[in-house]
Amino acid sequence: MSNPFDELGVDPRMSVKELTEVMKRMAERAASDEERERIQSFWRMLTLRERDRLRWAFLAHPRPPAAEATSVDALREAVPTVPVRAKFDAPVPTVRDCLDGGHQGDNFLSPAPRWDGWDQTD
Amino acid sequence: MILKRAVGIDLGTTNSALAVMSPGGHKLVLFEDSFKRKTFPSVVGWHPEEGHFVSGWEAWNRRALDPKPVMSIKRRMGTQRAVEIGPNELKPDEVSGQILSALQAAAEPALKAELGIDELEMTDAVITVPAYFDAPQIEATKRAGEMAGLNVLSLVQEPTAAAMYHAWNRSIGDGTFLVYDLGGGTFDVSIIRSVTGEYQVLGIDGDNFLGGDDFDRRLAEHFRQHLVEQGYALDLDLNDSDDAVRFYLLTNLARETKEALSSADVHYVARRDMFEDQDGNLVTLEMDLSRETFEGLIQDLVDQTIECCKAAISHANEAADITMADIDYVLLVGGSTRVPLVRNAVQDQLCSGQTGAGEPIGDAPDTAVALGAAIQAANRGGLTWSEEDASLTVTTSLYTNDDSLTILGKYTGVEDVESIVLLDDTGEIASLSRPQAGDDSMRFELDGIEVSTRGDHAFDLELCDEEGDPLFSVTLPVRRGRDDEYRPTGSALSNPSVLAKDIYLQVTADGRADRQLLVPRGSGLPCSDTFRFRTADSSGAVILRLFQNRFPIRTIHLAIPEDTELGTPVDLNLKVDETMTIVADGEVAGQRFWAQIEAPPPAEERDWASIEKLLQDVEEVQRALWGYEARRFRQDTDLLVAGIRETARTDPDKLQALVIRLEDIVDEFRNRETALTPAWSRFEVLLDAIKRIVFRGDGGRQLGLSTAEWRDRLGSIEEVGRTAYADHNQEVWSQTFNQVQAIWESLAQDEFRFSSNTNPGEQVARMEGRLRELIDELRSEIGGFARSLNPETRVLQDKEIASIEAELAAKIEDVLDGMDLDEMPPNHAKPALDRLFENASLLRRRLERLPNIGVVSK
Repeated sequence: MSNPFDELGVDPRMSVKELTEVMKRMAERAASDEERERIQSFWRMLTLRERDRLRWAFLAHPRPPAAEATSVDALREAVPTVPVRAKFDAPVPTVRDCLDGGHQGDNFLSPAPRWDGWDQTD
Repeated sequence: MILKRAVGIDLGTTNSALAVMSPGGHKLVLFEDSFKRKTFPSVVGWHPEEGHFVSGWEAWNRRALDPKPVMSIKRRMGTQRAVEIGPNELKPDEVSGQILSALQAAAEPALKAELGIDELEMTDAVITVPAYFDAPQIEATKRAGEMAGLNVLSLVQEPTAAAMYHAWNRSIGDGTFLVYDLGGGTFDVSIIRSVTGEYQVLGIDGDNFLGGDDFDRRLAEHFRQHLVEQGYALDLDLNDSDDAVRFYLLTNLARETKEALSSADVHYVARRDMFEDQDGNLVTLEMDLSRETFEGLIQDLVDQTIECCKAAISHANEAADITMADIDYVLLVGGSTRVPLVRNAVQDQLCSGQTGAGEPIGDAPDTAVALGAAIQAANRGGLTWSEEDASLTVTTSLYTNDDSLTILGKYTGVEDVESIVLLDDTGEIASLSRPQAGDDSMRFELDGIEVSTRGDHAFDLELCDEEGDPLFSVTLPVRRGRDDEYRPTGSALSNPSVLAKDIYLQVTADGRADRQLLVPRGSGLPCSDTFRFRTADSSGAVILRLFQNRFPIRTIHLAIPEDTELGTPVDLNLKVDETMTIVADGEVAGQRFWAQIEAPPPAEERDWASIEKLLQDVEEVQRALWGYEARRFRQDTDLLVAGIRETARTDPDKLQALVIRLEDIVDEFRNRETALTPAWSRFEVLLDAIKRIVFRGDGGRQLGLSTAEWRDRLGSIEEVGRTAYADHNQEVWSQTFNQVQAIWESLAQDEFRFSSNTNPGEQVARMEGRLRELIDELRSEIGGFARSLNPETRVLQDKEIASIEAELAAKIEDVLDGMDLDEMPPNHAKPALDRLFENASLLRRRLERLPNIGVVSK
């Protein structure tokens, strides 16, 4: 049987309440009924009995400390909101923009350098 | 544009109710008719002049007219026993379909007016079912909804719905609930836990044939006996239609009296010229009835409900380590919880320190289930706007008590959406480009929407094309409540339904019928599993017979070639979905099959002669058993036999159900095909128990025999038993079974009394523990003893019970409490405890003689 913590990628140190909050978000965003049912079943496995949750947590594979990892929600928040009516005037932010900490002032709005082909002089 | 909101419907035995969650998610609206009545009688009749069905109050008002309307049809759900309604013959699901259809038709205009929305469609529904319903009863309920033209999104168990309502109403986010749901015809108890507003069901128990109607029948029978004493000819046979009407009228009077006694200590019952007795004399009933007398009549029924509560807690303990002390809230649901005896029993046995619960919560007992179903309906269905070929559904609640809100939704339409914008009166507050497109719909999420002030907010949601022009636009009725106005509703994560009873498949083992557990009770729904069996003969057919507990729910018969090899794999997949629909599919010999659960074919009704024969069989089996086996058999059958004798006069439907239950128990102890008593399965249970002790490898010589000697001895006993069973030789079979039982009982005694590998102090401690268990067992047997309905016998039994209870306290419990076992040397303590065991044994023998007290012997 697969370990729910590994399957869902959630932190084994979470309390029942924290797990419930995280898994609720996952269930609400599940792409299909099967996916939602899978999350429901994992939630039941992890929350019915305290000793079961501890056992699964103990057996979960080590993962980077939470401080080093960035949550998906935090990453999403880093994506700037694009005003829709202006979206055709503005460049689409790149992954790098996001990972570098989002837009920095006006730099964000300046168009990305265009590639004009190989430098023919070389 | 049409707004669509799913409704919650409580389809009850006596009354039904319907409710809906307001679009803003902050208000539950219950359907009330023009007279402000909140419930809708679950009654269907026929209007002979106008030639159509009537339901609800209209049918209720026809109960004194011909043709008589049909009531309490829920008791027959899952069977194919048709009822006559005027010139029509309808099956139970069709009658329920009529009730649902009429209720929905009556409620829709009233709720539209109440919510102030003209274009509101309420054809999606969540319907409630008793938690303890069997699969065919659940299927029938779902079919009834479909027959009424409803799109049944889900079925939710009644206690769960009630817990959802009370948690919503009282802003309870975390806690464990015991829901005591005593309706008109069914009793359910569920243990439900809420973790930050997400629900999980931990344990269920109940009785599908126990409810307020039983209280009415007990009282009606009391009236009948009183009238017979007055000289009226009322030896009623309910199979006779005139007698059935007489008893029905007495039951109506009983119901009124029961309701009056909920608030008064004494009620003067007076009804002149109620009907004619069997001699044609007009019957008049006049008597004073005290609440105490009424409570005496129903005490054992209430005790049964408390036992069910303990069983549910025990199931919750198996599933989630829940104990009595973990229960935080006790909820009273169902009209019958208004009976003061019920409330007092719950208060005394569950809310007086045994659990963590304070006073039982019992507001809205008639409507809590429908209101909870409306919460689940809003949760499952969301809020949908539709027009022509496009629709938008917001799947999350638009209510928050926080300063921010997340909106999740999906859009289905022919045109491509390039962006989504949320606007308030100040302009754009959130937007999303390139929403996530699925196969047939587009999902979106707007997170962190600021709702800065309390009260109602109207946000416009626009789905735009690539030019930024709106393709689809709706106004979202968002509401922010007070900080303490937390409204838990559950979400897509909640597991609001579990399987109430085990699902088995009949298999053969060594040519004998046996059962294999497929899905255990308490499994969260949906669930599924795959199994592999093998063909066991060359009959040219594979028969998969599915049971829920002992109740057959579906037989799948597959013809396969006769030359199919023995041992050919039979693959079976079993899936129970969220609406509790059970679907089995699989493959055998290259042939695929699929089957859904359906009501079993109408069972032949047992007449009184066959019931008498069954009762004789019970006595025969009882005589063939002794010791623990006899006690277990009696424990299982005593209440049923008493119930059968009672309902023969008062409740034909319940009578049939009890007879089937009793037949199952007799079959368990005596094989019907071979007519041998006890059944092989009991032999196997005992042998297994013996093997567990003697082969556990702790080096002990149980009863002086080594492991090798035990192996030989058990092997030869099993062989003799097998041969006797195969030859249908009752005499040898009885001898062998008795031998096995004697070995087991001796071993069991040794286990706790003279175990060689423990020190004397431990032996004393174990003896004390066992003795205390024995005291509890005796108390429970005394409490569960079904007293005779005959008043004279009952007096004798009451007297004997009082004497047994007194001796149990004085000669065993007080003595045990007075012994300082820690200080007492073991060689003194053990004989003293032995004497107490002997006293307990004597009391048990007196208890065993209770049913036959006063009966002469040969």
